[in-house]
Amino acid sequence: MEKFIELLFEEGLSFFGQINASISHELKNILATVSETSGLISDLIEVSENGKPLDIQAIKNSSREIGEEIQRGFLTIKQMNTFAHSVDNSFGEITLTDTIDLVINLSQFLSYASQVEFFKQESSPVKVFTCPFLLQDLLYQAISFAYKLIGHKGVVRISLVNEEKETTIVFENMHLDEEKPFPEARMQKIAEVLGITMATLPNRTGFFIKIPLTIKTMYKRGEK
Amino acid sequence: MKVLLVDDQTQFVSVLTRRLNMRGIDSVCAFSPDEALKIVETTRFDIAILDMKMPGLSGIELRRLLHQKDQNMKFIFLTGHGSEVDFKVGSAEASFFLPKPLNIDKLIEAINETASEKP
Repeated sequence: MEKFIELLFEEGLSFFGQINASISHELKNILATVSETSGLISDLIEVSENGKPLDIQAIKNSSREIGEEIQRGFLTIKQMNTFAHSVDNSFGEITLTDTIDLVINLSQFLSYASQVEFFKQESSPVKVFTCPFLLQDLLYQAISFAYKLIGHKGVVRISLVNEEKETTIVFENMHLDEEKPFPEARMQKIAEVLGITMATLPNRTGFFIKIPLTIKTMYKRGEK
Repeated sequence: MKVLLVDDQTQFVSVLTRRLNMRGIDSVCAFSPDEALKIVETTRFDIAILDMKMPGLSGIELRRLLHQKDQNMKFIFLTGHGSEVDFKVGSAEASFFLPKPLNIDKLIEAINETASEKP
């Protein structure tokens, strides 16, 4: 338990800051676009007041763009809210596909993000009893690691392999150099605390994260 | 005076470019560092306005490549990030470092001051 608390302070706060910085960056970009687009509408009106015909189509387009940016803002805030509530319980049951979706969405704010193809299985969703916040941190570091290998024009392929007592997340479509250590120290620390194993795939074309369906902790299912 | 704006936020940079053109500043935009590097092969710019964080290359890296191609080109950085590290690096490598959202009048002031700087 001591190791877990130490990790929350060491890595958790840094992860929280990292996500907040990237969300605020996204929101500033949205506000900058709304501000410029509304500025353009004012410019067009001013020009028409000086005798030029009003460019109705440009005003319609600007209004549509502002609406789209507002939707983008709502979506960003929804993700921020889901992320903020991931610290409500130190341990709890999560639906793994939902957590992966959230981490993919949050990581897309990174300037070096690749595209992602996430292949979900048709069978019933996998439930994992774990520390949701640290698992998100680990998945975020893993996907950021994959983006850096693949580059912003590439595609990360993510899939799940479900077994009786564990589930494996596979990250593919990249090449890990022999010299490149995997997992990185930060990922390894979290993995150890959560009872997770990580390794490269054969031929180093990717890596996997094997997650136990129930973490062994002093807490039990149903307790906060 | 000719100005190049580079940002992966396509709507933002398209509208900003149009607003600068409406104010008599001859401006062209690029949606990526790669596109910017292609444009400067055929057109000369006095000032480049670069976003700090873009896919592929950062604003700082793009500034260095553009400077290699044209040593007279001057630079203004835009940022939505606002970290202290960005501010220090950005301020050292460009005439101005402006936070988003922008005030267009302040941007025009920055463009005019940058244009009047000696190389």
